[in-house]
Amino acid sequence: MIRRGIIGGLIAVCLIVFTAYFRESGGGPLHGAQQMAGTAVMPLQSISSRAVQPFRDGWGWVTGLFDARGENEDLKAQNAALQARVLALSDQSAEIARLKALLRINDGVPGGYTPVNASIIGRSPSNWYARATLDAGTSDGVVVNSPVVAGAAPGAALVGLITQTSALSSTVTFFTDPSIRIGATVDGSGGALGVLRPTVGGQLTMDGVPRDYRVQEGSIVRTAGFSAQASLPSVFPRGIAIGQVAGSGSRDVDTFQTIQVTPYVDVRALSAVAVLTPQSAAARRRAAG
Amino acid sequence: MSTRSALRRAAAAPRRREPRALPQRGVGLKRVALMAIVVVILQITVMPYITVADGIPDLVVALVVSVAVLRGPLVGAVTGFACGFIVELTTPIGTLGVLALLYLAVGFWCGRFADRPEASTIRLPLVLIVAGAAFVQVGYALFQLLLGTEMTASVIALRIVVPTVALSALLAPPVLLVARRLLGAPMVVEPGMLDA
Repeated sequence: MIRRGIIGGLIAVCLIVFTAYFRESGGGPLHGAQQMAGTAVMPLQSISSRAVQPFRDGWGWVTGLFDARGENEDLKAQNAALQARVLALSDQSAEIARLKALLRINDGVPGGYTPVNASIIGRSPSNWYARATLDAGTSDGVVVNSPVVAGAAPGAALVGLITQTSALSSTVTFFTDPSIRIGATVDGSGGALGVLRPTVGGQLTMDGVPRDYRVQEGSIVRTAGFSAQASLPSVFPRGIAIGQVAGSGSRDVDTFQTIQVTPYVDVRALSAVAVLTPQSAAARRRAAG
Repeated sequence: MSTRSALRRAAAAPRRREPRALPQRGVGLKRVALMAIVVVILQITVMPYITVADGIPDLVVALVVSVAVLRGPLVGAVTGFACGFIVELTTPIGTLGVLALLYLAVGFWCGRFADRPEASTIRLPLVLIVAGAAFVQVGYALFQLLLGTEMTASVIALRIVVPTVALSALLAPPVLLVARRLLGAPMVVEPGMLDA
């Protein structure tokens, strides 16, 4: 009888907590408690994040091998065309390119924002949510809806936005999270506008681009500065690089085409990012939604 | 003739080893708490970096099932609730109370096997860990579908549920063996025993 009472009580607590959690706003007491608890374990996560770095690299190497095997057939087809270029490259030049990309983390930062560098110290233990904890918070100027970028080939490339903050830490929601939609445009397409949404495997899909626009493979996809509701300003300022067009297509009956976009940044392998903290009045208005 | 040959065969056949009885170690709630703390720390710090497809190993379910099978439904349910709640509270996850409820259900259900003779074996807890991991993943997937996720059922199954269950099954034996070593023989803990 007592056992049933205890278990019934715990079930009731669960039901009450998750009902209250989804009913309250992002600044409610349960969200606050979650943020506070996240901040409390931040030092632990920071230490363990550094401690497991070699193992992460090793695991990344192993899984990279498996991925490479899966891509083998495609790569064979491309091999002939790329062979001449591949021979010209060495491991050293690849390393230099990677380091240069990291240094360009602050290149292409839009006006009205100041980048604040941050390390990823914790990640969501469930892939239902593509989120991570950063070691920068409101004391560093980070506010909710601040865009987050990382170094990539064309300079700063978008990786997500800040969705929760505390004094010393913040939560970044990556663009691979199912809740994220980004108004985007394609360079060289004559102003094609669409909405990016995540698909499987860290890829993105751009919807809502009329078929009249000619979109070329390899073109850069950037933030458009508007939200999914088209006429409203987006929390993402215009012009931040997101990825490259990997392909496009539509059926004869479709009015719009669907564009596949490969992001510049693999958010699963990130360890450092820059949070664009709004400084100008316009940037603050964007962040305020 | 037939009796003699049967006896000969029986003598020649390898003798099946009896499973070694686990030692009695008392209720061991402090040990349960210690294991829960270690497993939760590993779950929130190390496990997110071990991914196959979109699956992340679930060490918590291995602990909850191990504890439940060795100490009964009450301790299993409370361990599940506490671990799930702490994981949701300390990590950038978009829910609070959902994992706690799912782990609680797993702990309670698996605890009902604690008074069976098979609870001392390795096979039953391992099967229950796989079933528990699948239950938690499918339960969480249903919850996400209720929230309106745009992932299709096939993507959910192939990229999240199956890899997570497989990785959890791979990492479960060490957790189970440590739990058996620390807690000893199965024993159903009731509220009255805690007062004593």
